[in-house]
Amino acid sequence: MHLKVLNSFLVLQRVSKQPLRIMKLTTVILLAFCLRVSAKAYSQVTLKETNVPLKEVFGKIQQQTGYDFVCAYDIMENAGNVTVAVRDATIDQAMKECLKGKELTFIILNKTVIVKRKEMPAISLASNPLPLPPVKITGRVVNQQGQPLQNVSIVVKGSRVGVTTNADGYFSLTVPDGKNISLEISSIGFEPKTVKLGSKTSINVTLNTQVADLNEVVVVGYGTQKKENLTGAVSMVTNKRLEDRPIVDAAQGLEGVIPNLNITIPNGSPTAGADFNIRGYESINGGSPLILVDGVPMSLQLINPNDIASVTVLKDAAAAAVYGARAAFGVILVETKKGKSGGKINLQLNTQQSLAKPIFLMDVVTDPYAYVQAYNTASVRTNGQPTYDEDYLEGTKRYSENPTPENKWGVYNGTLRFYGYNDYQNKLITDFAPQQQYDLTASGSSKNVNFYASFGFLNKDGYLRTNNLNFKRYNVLLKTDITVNKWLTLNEKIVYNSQVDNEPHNYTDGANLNTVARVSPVDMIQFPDLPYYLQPGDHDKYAQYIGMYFEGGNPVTSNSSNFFPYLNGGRYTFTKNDLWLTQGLTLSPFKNFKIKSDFSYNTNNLMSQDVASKVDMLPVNNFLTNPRTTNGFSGNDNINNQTNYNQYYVFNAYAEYTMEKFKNHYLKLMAGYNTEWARNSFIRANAQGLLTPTITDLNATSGTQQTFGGKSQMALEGLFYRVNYMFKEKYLLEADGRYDGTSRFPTDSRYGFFPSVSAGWRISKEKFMEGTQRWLNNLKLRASYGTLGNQLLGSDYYPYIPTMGSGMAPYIMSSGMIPYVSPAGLISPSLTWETVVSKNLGLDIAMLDQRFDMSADVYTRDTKNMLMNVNYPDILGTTAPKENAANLRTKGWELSTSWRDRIGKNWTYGVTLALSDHSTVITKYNNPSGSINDHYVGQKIGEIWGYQTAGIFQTDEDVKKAADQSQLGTNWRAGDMQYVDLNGDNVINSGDRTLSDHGDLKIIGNTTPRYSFGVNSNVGYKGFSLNVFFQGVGSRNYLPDNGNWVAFYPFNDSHIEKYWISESWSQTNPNAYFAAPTIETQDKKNIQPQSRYVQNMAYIRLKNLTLSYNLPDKLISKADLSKVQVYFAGMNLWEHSKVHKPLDPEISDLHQQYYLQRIYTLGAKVDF
Amino acid sequence: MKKYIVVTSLLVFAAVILNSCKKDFLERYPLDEISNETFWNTENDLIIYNNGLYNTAASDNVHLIQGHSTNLGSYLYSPWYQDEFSDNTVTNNKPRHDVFALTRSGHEPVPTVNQPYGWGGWSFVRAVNIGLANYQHAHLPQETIDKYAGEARLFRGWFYGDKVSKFGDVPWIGHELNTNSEELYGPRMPRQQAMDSVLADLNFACEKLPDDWGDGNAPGRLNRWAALLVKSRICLFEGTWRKYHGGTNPEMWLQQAAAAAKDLIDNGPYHLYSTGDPLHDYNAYQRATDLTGNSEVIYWRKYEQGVINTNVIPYFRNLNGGATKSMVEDYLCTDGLPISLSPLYKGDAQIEDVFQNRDPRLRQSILDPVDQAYYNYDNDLSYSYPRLTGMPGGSPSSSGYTIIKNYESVAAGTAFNTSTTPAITLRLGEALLNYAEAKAELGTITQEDLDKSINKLRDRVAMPLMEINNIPVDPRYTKDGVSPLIIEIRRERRVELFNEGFRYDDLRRWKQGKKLEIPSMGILWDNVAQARYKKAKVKSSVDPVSGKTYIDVYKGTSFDNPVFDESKDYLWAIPLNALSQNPNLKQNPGW
Repeated sequence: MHLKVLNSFLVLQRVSKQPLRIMKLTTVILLAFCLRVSAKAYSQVTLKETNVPLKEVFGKIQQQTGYDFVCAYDIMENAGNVTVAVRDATIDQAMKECLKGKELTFIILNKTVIVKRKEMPAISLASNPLPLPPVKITGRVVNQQGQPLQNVSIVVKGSRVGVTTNADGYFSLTVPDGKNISLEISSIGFEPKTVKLGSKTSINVTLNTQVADLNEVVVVGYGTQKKENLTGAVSMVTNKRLEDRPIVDAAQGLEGVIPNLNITIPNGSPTAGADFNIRGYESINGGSPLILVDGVPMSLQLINPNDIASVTVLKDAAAAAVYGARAAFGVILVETKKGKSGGKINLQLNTQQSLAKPIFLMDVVTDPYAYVQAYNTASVRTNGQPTYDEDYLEGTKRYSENPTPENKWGVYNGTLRFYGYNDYQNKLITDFAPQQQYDLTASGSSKNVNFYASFGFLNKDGYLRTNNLNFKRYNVLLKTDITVNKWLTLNEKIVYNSQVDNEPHNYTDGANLNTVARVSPVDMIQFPDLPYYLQPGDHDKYAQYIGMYFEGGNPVTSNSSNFFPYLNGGRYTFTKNDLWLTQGLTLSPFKNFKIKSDFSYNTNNLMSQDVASKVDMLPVNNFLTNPRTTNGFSGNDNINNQTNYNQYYVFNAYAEYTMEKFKNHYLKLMAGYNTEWARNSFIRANAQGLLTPTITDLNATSGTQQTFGGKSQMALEGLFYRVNYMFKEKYLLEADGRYDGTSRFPTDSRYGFFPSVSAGWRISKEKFMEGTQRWLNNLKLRASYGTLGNQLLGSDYYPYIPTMGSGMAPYIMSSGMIPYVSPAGLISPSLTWETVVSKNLGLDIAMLDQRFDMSADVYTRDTKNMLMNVNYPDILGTTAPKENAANLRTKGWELSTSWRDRIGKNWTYGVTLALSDHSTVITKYNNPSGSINDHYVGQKIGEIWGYQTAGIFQTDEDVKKAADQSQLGTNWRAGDMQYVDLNGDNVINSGDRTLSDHGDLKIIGNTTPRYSFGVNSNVGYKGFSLNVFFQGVGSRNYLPDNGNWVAFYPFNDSHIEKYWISESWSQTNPNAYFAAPTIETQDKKNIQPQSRYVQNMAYIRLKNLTLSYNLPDKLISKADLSKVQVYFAGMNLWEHSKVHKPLDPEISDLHQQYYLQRIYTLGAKVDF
Repeated sequence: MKKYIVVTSLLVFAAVILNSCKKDFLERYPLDEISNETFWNTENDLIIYNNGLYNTAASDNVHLIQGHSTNLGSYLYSPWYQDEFSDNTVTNNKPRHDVFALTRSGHEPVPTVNQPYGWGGWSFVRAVNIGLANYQHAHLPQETIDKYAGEARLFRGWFYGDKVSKFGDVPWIGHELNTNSEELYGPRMPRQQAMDSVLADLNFACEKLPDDWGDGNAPGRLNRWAALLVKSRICLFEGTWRKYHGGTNPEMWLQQAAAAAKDLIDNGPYHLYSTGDPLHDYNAYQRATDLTGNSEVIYWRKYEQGVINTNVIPYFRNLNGGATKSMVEDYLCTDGLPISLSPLYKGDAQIEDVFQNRDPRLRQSILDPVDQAYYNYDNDLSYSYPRLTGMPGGSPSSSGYTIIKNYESVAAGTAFNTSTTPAITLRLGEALLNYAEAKAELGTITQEDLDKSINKLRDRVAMPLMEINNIPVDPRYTKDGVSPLIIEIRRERRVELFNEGFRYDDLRRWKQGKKLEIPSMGILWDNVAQARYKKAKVKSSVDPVSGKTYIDVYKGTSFDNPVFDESKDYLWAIPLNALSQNPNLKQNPGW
C-alpha cells in the first residue's frame, strides 16, 4: 500500500479573506483584531470551489484546520474534480461534502484525515470495530451518610435508556456495550454525577448534597467572577426566587431577598413602579441604584419576571466602580435567560390565574342611626351645632329599627332624604380583582446557535365593580447567540414591552377611589324609584331621573363627592411601547483573551389620551323642587392627547485578558468604554368642549385648542478598567476605576475619575487552617475602599445653563391665553459630581460541606459635596441653584446566611435569612438659622418632630391648671389633648422652629426602617415543594399626616369607622386613644403632630407561600412531556404588626387609593 | 507572536475608543428653551416678558391684579372674600374660611408659612428686577422701552405698597439677588425709606405708561390711568397711616394721592356706569359677565371657558355668611341722614323693614326678600330668604343678610369651576373716594371737590348730594376722633366699596381697629324671628347699645370674643419660616 502524506502548510495571508467577509456582515470595527488570528487552532472550514481537483480542496482544508491528510496515491489520482461550497463547517461536514457522490469515505484520527475507498474493510484502520454483546449493569446509590437513595435517575449518556433506583437504592439495566458508555446519575437536591463504566458491570455511587457552590459564577460589572474570588460586596439571586410567584413586577419578588436591597412598593397599582434602594439613604437629592438589564439601563418594570435568569446587586464602591458616575448608590444587574446548550429544544408553558384582594378595607359604621348620632356628637363639640337635624335622627332611627325599602327614603321640607345605609364601599369596590399571566418560552440550541424566545402576557383588573380599570402587559424577549467560529460569537437580542392601561379619568382628587372615605353612609347615591315624591301622582315627572347618580353628599353635607357618576365619564388610556434592539459581539482571538462589545438602541413611545367628558348627574340640593341635571366636576369637558417619543442608545466595548496560574500568580485585566445618549420629545394637544361624549377625538371638539411640546437630550461616556490579582488563591486584590464624563455639568467640571480598591484573604486556604478543612469549606475576609460619583439630577438635563421658561399663560388680555417668557433661574457655574466614598468590610463563611453559608458586611458610605438646594430666604425670589455643599454619612450592616440539608431519602429543606440595617446622619449642611424644617448638621434622616402627648384632659380644671395651649387652638375642654410643656414656659408652642428655639417640639420618632429582614424557607418531599417567605422590618416609626380626607384620625373624613367611636374619649372611656370626637377636618388642635400617634410600623408579613407539585415522570413521559408542575402561590397572605388599623405597615400613603393586595394564585407549568 | 497580537489588539482597541471620544459629544444644549443671552431684542420680546409679569401679578401668591382664583383656589382668593377680614361681612362658619374669621377675631397665631394675602410672592419682585435690568438691551427707542419699564415699576411699587401696608418695614429688593447677596440676611428697610422707593416707582409708571396701549382694553394691559388709581390708593394708605399712626410728612402722601386721583378723574376717559336706573345701576355692572367697554371699569380680570375658569359664585354662596348688622346700619336713609338721625328709618323688627327708605345701594348689596325673583336667587324660588344656618335647603347664611351685590344666577347654577365670572380690579368709583378722602384729610376739600367725587356716586343712586356745610353728625361715631365730614366720607367709602375688599385695610390705616372688637351680628333674633326661621341653628347675644337680641355669628366658636390689640394687630406677623431663615427680619411688635 502506497501512502502519500500531503505537504502541510500554513499561509496566513490567504486565510485573512474569511474574516474580512465576516466584517461585512457585522460592520463592527472591533473585528479588526481578526487580522492577526491564527487559524491553526480551529477546525471550521469554509470552501467555495468549482470543479477543482480533490487534492487542492484537501490542501485548503488543511490550511484552514491544520489537519493532515493521509490517502493512497492511486485514490488521489483517480478522484477527479469536485465542486463544493461550505461555510463554517466542521471538518466532518466539509469532508462529507467533498466526497459526496464518490466511492470514497474517511476516518479522522488524531488530527489526521484518512481517506479510503468505501469497500475497504474498516478493520484495517479502525481500532476495535467488533460489536460487543449487551451487558447488564447493576449498582446502588447512597448519600454521603451512606443511606440509600430512591428514585435516582440513571440514564445512559447520549441515549434515552434509563432506570430509577428502588427503595433500597439499587438499580439494574442492560446496555448494548459496557465499555464506552457513561451513566448519568441525578436526583433532585443532589449534585449530578457522570460515571464512566469502563469494564465494570457493578458500581456503587455516592451522591453529594447540592449546596451553594463556591465555584458559582457571579455576574459582575462587565464580566463574571467566581464567587470565591469576590472582594467587593456583591449578592446574587437566581430566577428560583422569582419563579412561580404571582408577581407583576420583578421588584415585588426581590423584596427582602437580598439584605439591604430595600424595595418600597408605593401601593398596589400595577402601574406604580417600585422604588429601589441599596444600603439606605442616598443623598438629599434622592438617588437610586443603577439598574442594568443585560448591560443596558432599563426599568425593571419592563421585564417579565419570568425571563430573568439572575439578579446581582453590587453594593459597595469596589463592586460598582466600573459604572462610575451612575453607580454611587449601587448597581442592580439583571441577566435574562438564554438558551441552554445541549441540543435539546425546550418549550415551556406557564400560566397563572390569580385573585387579588385588598388587605385593609375600612370597617365602617353601617347603622345609619348610629352614624348620625356619632357625627352629631362630634359636630356639636366642634361648632356647637349638630350637623344632622331631628328629622335625620328620626328617619335613620326608623330605618335602623325596621330596615325596609320604604324607610330608606323620605321627603323633608321638599327635600329628598336618604335614611338608609348606602353600603358605598361594597357597592364600589369588588372583593377580588382577577389577574392572569401566561408565558410561553422556547429555548434550545444547535451546535452553533442557541436561542431563547419568550412571550408573556399579563392582564390585571382593578377593584371597581363597574367601569373597572384594567392593565395589560405584553412582553417579548428574543435572544440568539450565534457561534460563527471558534473566535467569534454574535449575540442578538430584541426586548419588547407593551403596556396598555385603561382607567377612569381623574376629574379631581375628590372623585376617585379614595372618595370611599369621604362618603357618609347616609349620602344619597342614586335617585330612587319611589311611588311618589312631593305629592301623589308626580312619579312621572321624576321618572327620567330614576337610577341617575347624585353629585354627592346629602342635603346637610353636600360637599362630598360621589365617584359613581364619574365612572361613566371619560377614561384615561395609555399605551407604552418599549423596544430594545441589541447587537452584540464576542471575540476570542486567542486563549484567555476576549473582547465583548454591544450596541443597543431603544425607542420608547407613550401614547396617552385623557378624556374628561361631561357627565350628567343630579344635584343634592333642592332637587325635587327644581329638578335638573348638573355636571359636577365634569363641566369643563376636554380632551388631552400626548405622545412621547424617547430614544436611547448604549454602546459598550471591553476587553479582558486572563493570565492563569503563572506560577502562583493569577491576573485578570479588563478595560473598556461605555457611552450613552438620550433624546426625549413630546407633543401634547388639548381641546375643549367635546361635541359628544362618545366621540373622543381632538377633531370632534368645539372649544379652545392648544398644543405643547418639548425636547431634551443628554449624553455620557466613560472609560473603565478592572485588575484582579490573586496569589496562591489566598490573597486577592482588585482595583477598579472609571473616568466618567457627562453632559449635565459645565465643560470644566464635567469629568471625574472614580477609583476603588478591594482586597480579600481566604484564611481557610492558609496552612495553619489545615486542621479545619474537614468542616470549614471557606473563610474569607474582604475589605474595600472606593469613590463613586453621583450625577443624579432627575430630569434636569442642563443644570448649569440658565434658560428662560416660556409657554402660554391663562391670563386673558383680549381672548385666549397669552404667550409669556419667564426669567431664567439662578445657576451655579461650578456644579459638579457628588462624590460617594464607601468603605466595606466583609466576611464569608461556608462550612459543614457547605450546608451552612454566611456572608456579613459592615459599611459606611459618605455622600459628599451633595448638590443641595440651599434654602435661602424667600426674598431671593427663585429656587436657589443646587450647590455642592452638603455631606452625609450612612452606616449599616447586612447579613445573609443559609442552611441547606436533606433528611433521609426524600426530604430536603433550606432556610435563608437576610438581615440588614442602616442609618444616616447629616454631617455638613448649610442651615445657618438651624431651622428644623430643613436638614441640619447632626440630623438623623427620618426624624419626626412633634409635641409630646401628656394625655387627655379629664376635667376642665385640668385644662386651667395646664400650660396655655391657646396657640394651637381655642376652646380647650375636658376630652381634648394635653401636650407636655417641655421647655417649662407654661405655653405650648413650636417656638421659632429652630434648633435653638423649638418650643415644646421634640423628636418623637424616626421613619427610617431598621432591621429589615427576609426569611425564606423551603421544604421538599419527592415531587412536592413548599416555599415560605416572610419579610419585615424590625423597627420603624410613622406619624399619620393630619391633612383633611386622610384616613386614620377620627372625623377627619366623612365616613365613620367603628374604632372612631370605640376609641374616642368620653366620660365613660377616659383612657381612650383619641380625644373626644371633634370634626377634625375643621379643628386640628387635638391631632397636632405628637408622640401618641407615632405608629410602630414594625411588621412581619408572609410575602409568599408557594406549594408546588411535580407530576411523576411515569405519568408525564407517556404524554411525551418532560416536566409538569402545578402550584398554588399566595402573596401577602398574613402579617403581624402593631400599627393601628386601617394603616398598612408597608404603605405610608393614607389616601386609600390602591390597596396592597393579598393575591391567591393557581399556576401550572408544562415543559415539553 | 502572542505578545505582538496582544499589543496590536490593545492598540486597535484604544484607537477605536479614542476615536469615539469626540470632544463635543458631551456638549448638549437645551433644545426647547430660550436663553437670557439671545432674548431681549425686539419689542415683542419685552411684551411677552411682561406678559409673564401679568400672569404672576394675578397669582394667588402676589394677588395684585385681583381676580377670582381658579378651581379649588376659588374658595380662598377673590376680592369678594376679603371683607370677611373686617366688620362688613362674616363667614358661614365653614373651615375653609377660618383664615378670615381668625384674623377678624384677633385670635390668629403666628403663621408658620406664608399666610394667604400675606408674606409671599418674592419671585415676582425678582422677575420685575430682571426685566428692568434687561429691557435696555433691546434696540428700541427709549420711550418704547420706558413703556415696559413703566409696567414693571408699577408692579414693583404696587407690590411693595401692599407689603408695607401689611408688614410695615420690608426687605426692599431693587435688583436681581444671587445666593451671596447680603440683602438676603439683612434687616428690613424702614417703612419711610421703602415708601420713598415705592413712590418713585409709581411716579415713573404714571409718567411713562401710555394712556392707551391700542390693544382694545378688553381688558388689555395696564395703562397710565390704572397706574394713577394704584398710586392714589397706595398714597392714601400711607398718608392716612402716617397721620393716624405717626410718621413723617403725611401731607405729601395725601397730596400725591389727591393729585393722582384728580389727574385720573379730570383727564381720564372713564365715567361712572349709569343708565339712569338708580335702583339697579350700582350692581348691574358688578353682576355683569362681560365688562368689555364698561365706562367705569379701568381694569378687570376676564375669564373664558377652557382658558381660565372660576368657581367663585358657588363658593361665595357657600362660604360667605352674609353682611353684618353694623354694615347694614351704615347705609343712609333716602334723606341723606344716618339711621340714628333719620325719621325715615323703619327699624329692624323684620328684615323687610331694614330696606325701607334706605340708600338704594343697600338693596343692591343685600338681598331684600322681595328681590329674590329679580335675582333668581339660588335658581330656586321655592326657598324663602333669608335662610339661616341650620335651615334645610337653599343657601343659608349665618347673619341673615345674604349678599347680592355680585350674584349672577347662571354662574351660580353651573358645574364646578366652569363659570367665567369676571373680577373688577380697578374702577373709577374708588378714585372718586380716594380723592375726596385725601382732600378732606388735608383739610383742603371744597364743595367742588365733593361734587366731582362723592356726589357723582350719590347721584348715580339718586341719593341726596353731600353738602360741605350741612354734614349730619351721626352720634354713633362722635368718639372716632375725626370730623363729621371725614366720618361721612368714610361711610360713603364703606357703602360704595362694600364687598370689594377695602374695609379691613381702611380700618387699619384709620387706626380704627377697635371697631373689630364689636362682635359681628346679624338680624334681630327675637321671638318673632325665632318663630319665623324655625329650623335655624344660630346663637345670639344682646346688643349693648340697643338692648335687643341679635344673631351673634361667631358666638361659641373659636372666633368668639374678638380682640384687637392696638399694639400688635395693625401689622401682620411675619411667618416663622421666614424668620428662621433670616432672624434679622425681626418679628413685628407684639407677635
